[in-house]
Amino acid sequence: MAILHYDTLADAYANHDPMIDQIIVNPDGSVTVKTGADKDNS
Amino acid sequence: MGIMQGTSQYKSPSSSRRIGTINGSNLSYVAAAATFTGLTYATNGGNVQISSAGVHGLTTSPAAGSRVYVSWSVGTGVNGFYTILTVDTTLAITINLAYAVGLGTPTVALAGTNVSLAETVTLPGNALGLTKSLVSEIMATVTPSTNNKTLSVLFGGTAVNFLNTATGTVASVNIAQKIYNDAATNSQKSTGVQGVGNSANAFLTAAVDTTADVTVGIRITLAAANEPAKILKADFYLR
Repeated sequence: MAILHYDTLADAYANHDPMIDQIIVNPDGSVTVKTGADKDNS
Repeated sequence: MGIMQGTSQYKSPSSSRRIGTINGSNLSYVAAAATFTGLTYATNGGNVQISSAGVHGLTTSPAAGSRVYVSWSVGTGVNGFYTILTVDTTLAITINLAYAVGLGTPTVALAGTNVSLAETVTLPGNALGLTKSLVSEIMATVTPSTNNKTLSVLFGGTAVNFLNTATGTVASVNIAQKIYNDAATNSQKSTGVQGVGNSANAFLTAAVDTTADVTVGIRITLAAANEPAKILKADFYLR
């Protein structure tokens, strides 16, 4: 599990599948990726 | 003691105030299929046409008129939501962005991605305290389908879901979500998808420092392409 940050959405997609990891486009356009137990589950 | 007459004795609660509203003419979002990658852009009548070797999964109805999220790398393109003007082929869409050279390489948000609206409101620091609640009253529409869709209030970056459904009959959402500090200014409890009502689930929690300003927004996650969702109006009250 991890919480990662990418400069671009393309970089996030290059490394993660949005159906497996949680790819988050933040309101400011930055991208956060959460994996495993770090994924939001609320 | 005399008898009060008329309606003048009623006063609306002065302790309730609206801290902000998120609304707009088109706060919609539709996801593209996972195959819509490796994108390039060109001009289509002066607007940007985005193309891929993989299908986007979008069709004129219902996707045209909804917004995709487009990010740009290594160029002058501005990340954000853009309205789909036309679905040109199974591999190309045209968006409401004037064509220019040097916009960069586009990436369109794919199904399963959490996409936050750019519009937010601010809950002032210390406004919530230990006695008040933030009440979010939200009207939204989604595409009825058995594919999951999740709508969340973003409370200082923590997503608190108010809709999480794969029920094929859900088309409109009207929710009142309450979040409050539970005995500490950095520990919250919130209602979830039950809104005003009962649920088999526990209340949701967050751990946001409310002594500082808290940014409150809305996040949309759609598990399938071509299923637009739209926020019609979101009012945030401090009560």
